[in-house]
Amino acid sequence: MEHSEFSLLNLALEAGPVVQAILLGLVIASVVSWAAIFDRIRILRQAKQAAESFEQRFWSGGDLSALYRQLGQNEEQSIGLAAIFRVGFKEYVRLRKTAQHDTMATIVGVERAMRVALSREIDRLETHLPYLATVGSTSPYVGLFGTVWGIMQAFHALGNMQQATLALVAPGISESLVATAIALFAAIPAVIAYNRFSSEVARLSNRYEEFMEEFSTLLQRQGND
Amino acid sequence: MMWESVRDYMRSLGWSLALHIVLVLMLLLGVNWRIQRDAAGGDAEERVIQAQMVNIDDLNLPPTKRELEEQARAEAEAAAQRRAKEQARAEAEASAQRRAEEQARAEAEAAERRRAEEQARREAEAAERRRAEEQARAEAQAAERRRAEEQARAEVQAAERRRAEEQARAEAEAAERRRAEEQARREAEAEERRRAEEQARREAEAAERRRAEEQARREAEAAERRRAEEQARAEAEAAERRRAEEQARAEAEAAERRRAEEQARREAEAEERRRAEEQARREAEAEERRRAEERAAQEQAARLQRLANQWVPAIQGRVSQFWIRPAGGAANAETVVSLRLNPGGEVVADSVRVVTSSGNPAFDASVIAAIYRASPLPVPDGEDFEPFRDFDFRFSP
Repeated sequence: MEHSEFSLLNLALEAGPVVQAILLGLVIASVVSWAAIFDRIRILRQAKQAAESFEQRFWSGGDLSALYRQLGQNEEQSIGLAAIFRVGFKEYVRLRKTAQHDTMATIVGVERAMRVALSREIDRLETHLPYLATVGSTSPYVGLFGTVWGIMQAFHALGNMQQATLALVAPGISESLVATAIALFAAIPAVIAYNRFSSEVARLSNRYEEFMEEFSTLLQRQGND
Repeated sequence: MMWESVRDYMRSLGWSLALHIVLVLMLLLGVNWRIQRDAAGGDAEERVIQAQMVNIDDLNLPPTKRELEEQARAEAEAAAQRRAKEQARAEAEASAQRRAEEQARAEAEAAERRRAEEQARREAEAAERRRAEEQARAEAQAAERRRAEEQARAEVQAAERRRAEEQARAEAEAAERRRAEEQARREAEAEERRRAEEQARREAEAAERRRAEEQARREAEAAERRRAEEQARAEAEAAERRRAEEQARAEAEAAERRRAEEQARREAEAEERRRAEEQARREAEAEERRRAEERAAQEQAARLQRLANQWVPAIQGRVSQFWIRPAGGAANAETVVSLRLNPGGEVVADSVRVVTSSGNPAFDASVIAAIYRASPLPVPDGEDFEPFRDFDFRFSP
């Protein structure tokens, strides 16, 4: 027993079974949340780049049907704005082929289809964000539970002693505080990442909606011509 | 699309795992670093230096090599200087001596010269004087001689006259003298004869007297010698007798002594034999007693062992029931405590003491607490209880 040797690993290995289980869960949560963070960084950067390149192509003044044909060739890779545009333009062409020439009805249909696509895209961007939120908000409580449990046990064992010195109390408390330390280690990156990612997703969502409005305005102008 | 997203997610998971493994490795390295620092810190704590005032002169520092060389050189120089001085002084002395000798010799020579001159002068003066005297004497002699010749001639004439008178008177005197001599010779011869007779008579008397004395002395000596021989014989006989008595007494005493010694030896041997028998009997008894004690001790040990085998596991089990594992592991810990029990197994208050600590104070304290809580312990009744009244107890979880 070397209480003087301060080491997170030693403390974790000497802790009781409940505390050890909590520590294991917290470590897994930390691993998964960091995986989600890396994944989101990649996805959001990809989405931003895709949106910029598509907007550039869209506003360069080319033919819309040509653009549509170009996008249709690699359907799988179209994400973000490109997916919304593809769905909207496909719906527009289909509605135009049917006999009705009611422009307003066509636009409404196109908008509805695009909103579905938008919602799907936003959903794709928001994957794992609730998990990060959960880890960030609950893991401190889980760690606190482990700490309380460990301190309870330490005080229970302390009941055997004739006189309770600081040297007898301190190791038990130190052991149990490891749980809080691990929990904070998992929670802090998760909270920061959640806040940042949700703001980025909101901005992208705004951008998509703007594009949707502008595209439907363009289609309405074409239909009235 | 779905598969791709899953694969990308797996890649992220891999990155995350790698990040955590790196963190854990950093922790492990940190552990090693800490241990080393702790060890270093421990050393530093033990090295306590107490400063105290010292007189700088008391600091008997060992001289450095340079100082030693310097000193050696200084000593060598001093020695050389000393030697040079010595030599210089010796040379100065020698030269002074030489100079003194030179001077002395010069002075001696001067003195010699002076003396020689003096002497020469004196001799010259003496010669001068002698010459003058000689001349004076020669002149005086010449005058004397002339006077002497004059006088001699006068005297010769007077002497001639006196010689004739003298001769006449001398012849008369010579005749007178011859007569007187003749008479004196006759008287002397008569006197001589008388004296010789007188002397011969005295001598004869003396010889007679001497012979008588000689004889008397010889007789006295013979008597003396006889008496001495007589006495010596008597003394020799007495001594002989005494010696014989002495010897007889000595032999008697020796015989007495031998007899006494003989008896003493016999008694000592008898005593010795008696003592040996006594001791052998005592040893035999002691041996017997020891064997009996050994047997008793063995029986006692066997009984204790049996009792221990029978009851210690029960006590261990009961203490284990009341033992609460202290914070921090106590896997291989083992503590030996001594405790006292009342009949019935009740632990005497404040009697539990740690004999051999496990090294972990928390573990020792938990064992002591468990023993107090486990009172009364399961122990036998009656005589079998005695070993458990005060005994050592080894506890390991």
